[in-house]
Amino acid sequence: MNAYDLLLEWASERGGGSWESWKAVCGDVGVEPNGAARSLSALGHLEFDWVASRFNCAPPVAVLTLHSSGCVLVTGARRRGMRQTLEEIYEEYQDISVELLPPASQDTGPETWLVEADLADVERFCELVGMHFEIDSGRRIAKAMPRATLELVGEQERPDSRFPRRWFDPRIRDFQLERPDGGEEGLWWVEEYRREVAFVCRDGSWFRVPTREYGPFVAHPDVSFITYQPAVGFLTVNNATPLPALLARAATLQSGRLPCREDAQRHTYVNIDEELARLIQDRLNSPIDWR
Amino acid sequence: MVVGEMAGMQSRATAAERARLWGLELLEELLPHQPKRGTPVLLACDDEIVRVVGEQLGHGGEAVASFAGDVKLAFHIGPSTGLGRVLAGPFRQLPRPRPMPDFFPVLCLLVLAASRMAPDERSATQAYYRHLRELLDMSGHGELEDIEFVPGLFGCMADWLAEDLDGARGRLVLPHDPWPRYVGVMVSQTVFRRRDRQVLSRFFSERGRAGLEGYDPVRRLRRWPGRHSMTAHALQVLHDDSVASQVRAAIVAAHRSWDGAILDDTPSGVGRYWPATLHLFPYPPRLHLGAGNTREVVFRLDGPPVLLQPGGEVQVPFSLLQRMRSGPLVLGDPRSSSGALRVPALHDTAVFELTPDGMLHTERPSAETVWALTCDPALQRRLAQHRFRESVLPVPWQLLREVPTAGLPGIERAAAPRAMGEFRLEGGLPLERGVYLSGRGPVLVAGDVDADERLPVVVNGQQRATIASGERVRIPGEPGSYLVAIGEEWRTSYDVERHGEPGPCGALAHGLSGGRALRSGARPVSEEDGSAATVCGAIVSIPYGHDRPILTRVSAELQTIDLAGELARHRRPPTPPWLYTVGLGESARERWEIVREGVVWLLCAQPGFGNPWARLQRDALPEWLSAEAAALVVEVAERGVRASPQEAWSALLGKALTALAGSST
Repeated sequence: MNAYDLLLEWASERGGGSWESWKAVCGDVGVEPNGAARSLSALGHLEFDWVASRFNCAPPVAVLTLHSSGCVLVTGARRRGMRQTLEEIYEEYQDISVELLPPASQDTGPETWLVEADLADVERFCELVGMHFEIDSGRRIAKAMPRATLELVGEQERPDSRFPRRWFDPRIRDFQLERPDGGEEGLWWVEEYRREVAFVCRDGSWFRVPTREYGPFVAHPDVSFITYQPAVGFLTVNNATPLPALLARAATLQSGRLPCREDAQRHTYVNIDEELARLIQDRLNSPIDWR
Repeated sequence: MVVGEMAGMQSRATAAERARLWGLELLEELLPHQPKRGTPVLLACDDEIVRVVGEQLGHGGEAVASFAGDVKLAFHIGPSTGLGRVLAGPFRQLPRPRPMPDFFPVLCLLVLAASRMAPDERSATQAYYRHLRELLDMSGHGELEDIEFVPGLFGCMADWLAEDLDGARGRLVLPHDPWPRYVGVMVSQTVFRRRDRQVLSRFFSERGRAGLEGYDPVRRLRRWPGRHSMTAHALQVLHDDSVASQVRAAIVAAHRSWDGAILDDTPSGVGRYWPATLHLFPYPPRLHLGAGNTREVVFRLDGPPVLLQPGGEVQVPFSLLQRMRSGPLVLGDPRSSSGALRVPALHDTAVFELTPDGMLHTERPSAETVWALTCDPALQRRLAQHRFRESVLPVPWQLLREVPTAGLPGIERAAAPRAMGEFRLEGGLPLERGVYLSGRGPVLVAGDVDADERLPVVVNGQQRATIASGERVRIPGEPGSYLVAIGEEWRTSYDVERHGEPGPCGALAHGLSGGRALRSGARPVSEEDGSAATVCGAIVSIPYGHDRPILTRVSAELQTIDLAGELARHRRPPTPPWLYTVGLGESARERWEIVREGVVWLLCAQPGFGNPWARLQRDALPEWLSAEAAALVVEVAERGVRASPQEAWSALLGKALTALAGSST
């Protein structure tokens, strides 16, 4: 059990709370609050309302994931003693064909809990535990999302000239202090004190992009920031252009694993099949480099 | 302005009416309603308070003279009458609860005179009368007629506050045995003299901008390094515990009338300065100037007068940098009623730190990187790669962006803001106020502790640790109730529980319908979302809407026949590599799934051992079978297939034979 498990357990025992309380507990258990929020949100444990600065636990769910040896992924709220409850039910109901796999730890998130089961049995198991049962949630999330366009992800607004900003250079996939030609076109990261905000300037018009992860994709729709290896199901994303939160969840729910660090510049989601890779490409409206 | 002259809206009232207005406003300023009845208070009237009240009544810069004149006229104070017309008798005879004593403004005037005494005039009765006569524009010297009745007037005032108002505006602290006998009463109300108000304005500017709530102002002032500039009288009473309540009341009263300006000496008297801050705008690069001024300040740069509105900012030219390089810059007239701006010296390098309001000039940044305006050629060469926007600033200045603070010569980095309160609980796993989840106890944090020795931390009667300023001590996190005490000064209690009482899960969800779907994160779920597509965690509101995958552990090839009679073959894929990478490759029993819509039959034509088998997946019979499907059905039937249910299989076999017969003809 690591700091993220403790954080998830605490959040589940509260049900929800303020961002301030989240930051305080993150600070106390020694994890970075924004990163922890991204991880636990991508895994489907928690939801964050950034307008009201609050978090809330998602209900406990068992999600059937494909290409995972018939495993369901246990996510959502994880109250103290839940693992013990799963084990007790597993022991008590011998007629249910389920197998609790050992918890798999990960560095920047809570343990992955997988239950291998026959479909008929897993539903009964979920009923006994008090969990929802879902099939292939990640793909369904991606399918339900609209395709990103600048008009859909942005709202017309000029950046506040009081704050410093840096320009995203799509060639090197990183931010520069200035645009070399002194122009304004492209994606800018505006340091609005404690939070950096994405602004896109296209044809002289400025757009604020509230879900800033969409910024690189809508600013440079012809540039590929993602590679996909169908043979192994790896989707590799540049650190400077992370997936927007719900697409990150769609990818993460394929395995219950957070993306692993590929090198200093990239991270990789596992167990992404070709259909989901195409869906992500379509929803981002951005080409994926197929390897 | 001559004594007795009136200004603004006051000009039409009689002196008595004006004196009453002064009294009412001074009462609100000097003796406001207290949060706690009976709080010790002083009638700490001084020039600053009269100035504040004068502004409220529409007086200009001569509020003190107007006040003194109105009181003098209203109460007929003169060389021969002295204070003889200031009577307590009529007030005493009124039925309780009585209105504000009509002589209250006279008491304020008498204390105002005491506040003007110089540091060495504490016991000098003659000095007091000199200041009083000066205020009243009366010639002569020595005490005024009927001054002996003044202590009685103060007693009457104290009685009104205590009895008629039941201490709602506090309890007036009066000396039991004043010395000098009469003047001592007025002097006792003045903890701070005029000179001390200048020092206090700096203290408030440095330590009291956010208010005094939550702190003991006496203890704070005692620890403030600048206190030594106060008069000997003020320093003496500040460190005298026996009069701490009076000092506390005086500080609070002074802070209440403080308008944010710093009072400082000028060659022609005390001036009023607003600390100004430079604000750097990067796009395009420009400088703004702002201050916490509570009234309009007018100043000149090189052109026409510039007006700085309260709370506003004005753009200033970069050419001003050179003028601010060598020393502080004063903009405006500090002796005017609105005061002047004072911009601190920038020297060769001015540092700007990102704040919620943008980039503000600071002498001690706390951030790791800052922006810098510099005319230091060595620094410009060394940090050339940080230069921002060439040719914008006048020579020799340059703007550098995101410079590491540690690399700037002569810039001292401020420590992170320190805990302001003395002690508090932080961290742990809070469930609600004072209740924590077990497993990780809260941390006791010591802020600015006013103690020379380490203090014992006692939990449930047992000493667990000791603590000093700036330290943190983790306290128990096992289930139970805890009482934490630090000496006699501070105590708190908390509970630790094994479980919380969580609120509802699923209160936030992402809405995927509508134009804002990709612009917002999760939002509170409302009943109106019932028909919309939402995502909460791994729950998608849109139903799955497909046939469920078929999970199997069979290692041989499987075949499926769908509603359209088409055959598909499915081979067991290799164990997903990611399961091995997370250490579950061996634990998993290697189920695999068949994802196909409309499957009617699942077959295994070549099992590892035994006969072929076939299993009905849905209660349906394909209308037609493809040649490949029909051939397989007949082949497994001939090899003694174990089919379930048998009747449905017989029907399928009939279809297969018909299809094969049809294809052969």
